[in-house]
Amino acid sequence: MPSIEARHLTKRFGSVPALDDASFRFEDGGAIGYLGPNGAGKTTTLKLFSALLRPTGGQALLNGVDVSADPKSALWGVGAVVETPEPYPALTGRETLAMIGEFHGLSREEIRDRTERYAALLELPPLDRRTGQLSKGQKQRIVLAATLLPEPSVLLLDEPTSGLDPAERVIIRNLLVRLKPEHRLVLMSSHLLQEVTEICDRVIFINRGKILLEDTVDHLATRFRVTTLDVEFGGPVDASTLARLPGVTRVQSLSPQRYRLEFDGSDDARARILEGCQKIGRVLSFSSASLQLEDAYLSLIQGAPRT
Amino acid sequence: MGSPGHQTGPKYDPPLTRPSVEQLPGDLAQFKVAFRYQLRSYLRTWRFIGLLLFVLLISVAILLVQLHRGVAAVTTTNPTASDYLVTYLAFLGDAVIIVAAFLGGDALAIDLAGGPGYLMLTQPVRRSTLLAGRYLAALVTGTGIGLVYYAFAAVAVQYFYGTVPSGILLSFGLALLFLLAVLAVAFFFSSFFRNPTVSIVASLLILIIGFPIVTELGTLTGVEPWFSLDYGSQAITSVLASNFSHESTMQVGAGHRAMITVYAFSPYPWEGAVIMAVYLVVFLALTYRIFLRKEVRG
Repeated sequence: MPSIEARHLTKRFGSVPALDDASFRFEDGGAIGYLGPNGAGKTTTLKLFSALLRPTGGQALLNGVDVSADPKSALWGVGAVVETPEPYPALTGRETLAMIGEFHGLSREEIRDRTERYAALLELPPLDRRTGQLSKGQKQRIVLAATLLPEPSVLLLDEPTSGLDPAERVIIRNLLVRLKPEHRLVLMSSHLLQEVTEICDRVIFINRGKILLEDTVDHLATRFRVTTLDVEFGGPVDASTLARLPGVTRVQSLSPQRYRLEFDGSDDARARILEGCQKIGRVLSFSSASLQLEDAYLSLIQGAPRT
Repeated sequence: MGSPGHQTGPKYDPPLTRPSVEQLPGDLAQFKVAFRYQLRSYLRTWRFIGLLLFVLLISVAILLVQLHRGVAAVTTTNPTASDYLVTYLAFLGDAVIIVAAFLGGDALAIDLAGGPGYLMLTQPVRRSTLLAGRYLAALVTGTGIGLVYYAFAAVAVQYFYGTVPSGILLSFGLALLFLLAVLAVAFFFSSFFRNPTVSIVASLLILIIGFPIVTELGTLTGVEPWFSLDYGSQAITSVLASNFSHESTMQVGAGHRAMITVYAFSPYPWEGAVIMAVYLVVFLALTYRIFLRKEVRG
């Protein structure tokens, strides 16, 4: 059963803590989104798991093997795309895939078959061209194909669609969605909340090297659900009157006629607020929205709990 | 770019499980893979072609100059075939250094700088395996280029003297040892610096300027520079010299007031071999230690 585990994992660069006593454990299949602003410690974590950095304290374990103590065994059955890996420019795409396959002990037939499969799935560029002649996005897809070629049970992905054009992003995202039911364990850092929502089952929020929260995407959406109502009146309205309406928890003035009201999201409250607004003045528009994961992210990162 | 990948393409395989540890390829098998692809990489670069042309150019230039001088003039200057080879191989040391610096100077730095390192160093392969594969690939490539130089030397000596001295084989062996040592120094710089260009330049500066200065200081002070790699490399030609002298002195200057004594040292072949072997072992050990522990911070 694939597993990823951090045990009090700590990394300092001089006196600066890039990752501070992080602990989590995931096993079996599934995709975990690793979210946080720039400099939060996401890439540091993934580098510690892929043996590019050595921890100052604690352990990073892949499939139960300590990465620092035995990187070869720990990375066996693991694929990692951290930062922006590049193939050797003098080798062709096919040779790059073959080299990685051979490192993993794949037979020629396995390498050939899987190369064809990933060439189709990732719409790879001509594989007999040297990778030094390819665009950044094409190289990135070659690297992803090379990473997937040994069919790893654990995948570590660091912003896998970063720097790609929209069409390339769709290709990678669709592939990752397709990998989900295959009992692989994916730890993926990203800035793109929409992407994380589509691909991941669970999320970890990290900021300033500290793990803030770890939960399922569904549970977070409920836990941080803050629904807003945007109301536009025919003329100026007093904000304090709106704040006294039953169910309204916060009022934000957008203009003398337009207000954003926060409430618990229930249908009853929404109906009562609409009724109240119509008593206060002529309502020109009344719309609601729920930001869910993005709202949770901002609440946590800004350190202002809203529940 | 066409439609998204999940709508086209072949059928995907069923869920996977982690392969058992027994299937993990051994270090020797992975070493062969690292060597093969690194060698292929070297042979395809403009750098390799440039180095080969550089050595060819030196070899051809020497040969043409000597052909222009004629057989009589050449055999008068160098009475024996071995002495002729000493003259011919005078540029070999610098050629070996340049070849080794360009092959080894960025062999590890290219990974430590990021880029290819993010692909290679995240594989289930020991860094020592990668290091060994790359070192051997650089050695094979460098040896191939060195063979060109020696082939021209053998052809030239056969033409002018009608024989090829057997000492050329020993000289080639010592040149190979020098290449091993110089590559170890270049790999050391490559493991030390994260910038491939800085690593190559540092290797060139130390090997072409640093060590010869140390050797020259010995000439002026009368101390045998047994600690200099450059001095050890002189065994490549001293093994061929017909009138070998380990130490000699010369008075230089005009008039008795300005006379200074200049010392000249030549290593015994065994001595040169030991110096080069020590450099090889020490610098490879340092490289191994640094490369294994170096972090890729990006």
